[in-house]
Amino acid sequence: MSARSRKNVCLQNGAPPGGRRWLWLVAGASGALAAQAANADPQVVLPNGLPVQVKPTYSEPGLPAFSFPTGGGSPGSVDTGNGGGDGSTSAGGGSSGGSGDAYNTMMAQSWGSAAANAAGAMGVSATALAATCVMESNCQNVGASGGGSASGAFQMINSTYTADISGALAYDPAISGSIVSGLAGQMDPTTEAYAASYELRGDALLLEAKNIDNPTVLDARAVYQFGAGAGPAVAAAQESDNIAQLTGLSAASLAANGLNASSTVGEWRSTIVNKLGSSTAYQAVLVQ
Amino acid sequence: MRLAGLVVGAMIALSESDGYADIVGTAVSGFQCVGINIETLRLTPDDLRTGNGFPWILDSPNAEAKRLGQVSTIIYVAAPVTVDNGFIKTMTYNGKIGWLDEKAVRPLRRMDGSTGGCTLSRRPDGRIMFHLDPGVGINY
Repeated sequence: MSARSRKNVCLQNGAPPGGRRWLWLVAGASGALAAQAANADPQVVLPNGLPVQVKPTYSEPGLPAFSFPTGGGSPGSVDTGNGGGDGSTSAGGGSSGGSGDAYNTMMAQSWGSAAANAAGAMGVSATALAATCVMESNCQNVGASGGGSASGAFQMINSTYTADISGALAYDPAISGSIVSGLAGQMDPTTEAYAASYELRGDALLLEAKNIDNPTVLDARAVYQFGAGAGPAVAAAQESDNIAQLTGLSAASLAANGLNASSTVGEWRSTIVNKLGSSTAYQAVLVQ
Repeated sequence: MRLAGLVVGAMIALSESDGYADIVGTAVSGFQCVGINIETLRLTPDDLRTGNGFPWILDSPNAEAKRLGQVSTIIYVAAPVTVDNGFIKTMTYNGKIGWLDEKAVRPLRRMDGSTGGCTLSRRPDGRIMFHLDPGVGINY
């Protein structure tokens, strides 16, 4: 089963009313995404003689994206993007900084700096947002296929995107001049980054309401994949606990997410940590 | 009180739970795991995903009391069970003590109908983690 068809099954098996979910690609992470990454242009280029602490700033039009080890971004080191991702217009908030392979992958994109700024505007970590795009598309701005509506670098379905971009605008009206309006915004990575950041913020706040303090990327992924009802329990479970027994998910729902009746919390966590790296997986979502 | 009695019955079985070598954190005693009562709360599969209809832990055994946090599928209750005014004494995932409508919980069971619970531990960051007894789940 391809990652794309798995996503469709995910939808059929419980996209909640209101459609607030992204489509989950853990199962696809080791398949399609790995293959995608293998075929992608090299993203880390470190020519001899360059300093190792170069911070990503403006992309050069016409040149491929370069990413240098940053040792963690810092507020003010990135451009402020507009809806087109060309860095020409300021948006509300500031970058929340970031680090790690996922962050570097996002920042290697022409829209990466603007996306990091979007995360800051929504009060979430740029690293956490980068984790989302790495998990969903390896930060490639891909269109919908297979009959589903999931599209863009953050692979949000239409209903989720519409709800979240509205929420983002309400949260910070200053971004209104920086986004592409309508569903077209889904395929503008900077605009979708605002919606994805708002979604991430919502998941983290939900976890806090369920007494999961300082929720991490891994915790938020639990809500994303297992839902608002059972996700917090997954976040509080030990490694060897059985996912089916603490979530109540059906065999079909488990299979749609690349899991089975014997899958443990530890196995699920390993899938994510292996994809993102432990420093990113355990990064707090909300900027303090 | 019938539900509380069921939970008490589950506690007897819990005392026979095995220990686990892979548990991370310091042991937490005085509380045990029960499941959310899907049947009584009439939770649908969609509810389990969205969290709709999941009850709140309150800071006192009173329906008008302040909300401490919403439960998930696995709930920590005092062992032995303490019920006051129809509310069962509970602990949140970050260790706060509160009260939950006793109708919202039910013992964790295995497929054969036997009851079980969990081992609780506190992580360095304060999160109370559970490790379920083998075979128990919220659907049985």
